[in-house]
Amino acid sequence: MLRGIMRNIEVKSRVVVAAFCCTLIALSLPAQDDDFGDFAEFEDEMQKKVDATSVPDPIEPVNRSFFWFNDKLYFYALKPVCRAYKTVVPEPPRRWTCNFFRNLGFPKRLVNNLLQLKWRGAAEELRNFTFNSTAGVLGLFNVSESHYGWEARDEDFGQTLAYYGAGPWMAVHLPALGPSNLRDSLGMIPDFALDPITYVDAWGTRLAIHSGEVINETSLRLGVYEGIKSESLDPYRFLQDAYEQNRQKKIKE
Amino acid sequence: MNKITLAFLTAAFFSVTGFCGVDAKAETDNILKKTISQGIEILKGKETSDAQKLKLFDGLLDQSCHTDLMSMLALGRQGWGVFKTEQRKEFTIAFVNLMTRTYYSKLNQADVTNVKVEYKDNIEISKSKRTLKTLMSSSDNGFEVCYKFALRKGRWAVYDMEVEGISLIASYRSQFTDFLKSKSPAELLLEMKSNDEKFSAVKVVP
Repeated sequence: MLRGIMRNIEVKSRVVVAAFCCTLIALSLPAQDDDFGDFAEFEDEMQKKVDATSVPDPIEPVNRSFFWFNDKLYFYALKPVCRAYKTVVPEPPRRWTCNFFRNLGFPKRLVNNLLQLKWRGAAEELRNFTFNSTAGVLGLFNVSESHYGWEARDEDFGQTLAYYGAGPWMAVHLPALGPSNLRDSLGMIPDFALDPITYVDAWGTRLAIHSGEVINETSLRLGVYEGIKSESLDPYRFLQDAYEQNRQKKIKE
Repeated sequence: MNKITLAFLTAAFFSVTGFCGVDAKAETDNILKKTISQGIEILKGKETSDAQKLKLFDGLLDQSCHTDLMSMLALGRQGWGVFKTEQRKEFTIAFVNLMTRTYYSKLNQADVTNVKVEYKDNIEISKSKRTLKTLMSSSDNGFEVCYKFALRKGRWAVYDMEVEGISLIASYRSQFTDFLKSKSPAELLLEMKSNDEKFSAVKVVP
């Protein structure tokens, strides 16, 4: 009787040891390595990402024609002007100009932070604007970021619409402005109203200021578009797709 | 005797399950730090030509990325399915070349002498997946780069990277999917080859 119980305990402990050994072996083994074994897990993750950022493009031929127009505009007009400007104006003043225009975007960022109920973001925006406009000499120096590490976050009406549930609706490629979607394109209208330059009286001056802003900013990013073109099979598709992915990140922030 | 065996096995069990998270964090941190510092050193090398630098970058990507998985993900289940075995091999080579060029030219555009890399969160997604966020900044600007790591065949390596939310693999996937809607895998391979040749012949001058 006693011998029977002892044998039973011995058998059970062997089973436990065997189970432990099996678990250890299983844990020590590398992940599945066949073609589609663990690939499915990654594939599902990637497909979700692609699905989340894919936007219908019902007016693709029109969008592509605007892409073609923008491409020519860049290579035949903007780039030569920017290269000349870059030769004449050294980098620090171009960076200061960029900071100045960025600081002017304060009303747009503040209002959209408030509309999205981002109180902390609105407070940070107000703080950055105060520091940059005073210690940063009218925004020429981005002291809030360079000295205090306070990063500014882009907020616009397109993001506000997305915050309240609006989807991108459809892909749009705007002449002179590049990739966008219908939601963000419509969002540009209220943002335009929050831009202080809009209230400059003479339209010629307004146009000159906006052109100057674009030339200055592009002069700091020369080579980026060329890189995209050389590395993509379809630069139009890449730009639209990259735009949506980047917007989704901004909306989530 | 049995008790000793059980104690030993229990200790071994916890050492495998409990500490693998810590090891994985340290391992992925080390891989990334080593790869980025090597990449910056390659770019700083004034004596080496562009072609030599690209070759060094190729080796760097090979050792730190799951290039086979990246190629499969770039085509997707459907796309990968229509490629024959030989074409898959050819595609993997062409895609790695494309990634090397992309990564090389992006870093080459930045001011590498002043580049700073801030290593932020290293998060465990699952036992075989981690994401490592970095903030890369130079005199130009700063941008967030998120590296996605996977444990495959007992090796931690990158399988995707996102620059300001833009996934390298997802971006190529959209382009390849679009291309394969109207053209064949052979045409895609040809297009990739001619693209590679164009890049080798023409240097992008800002």
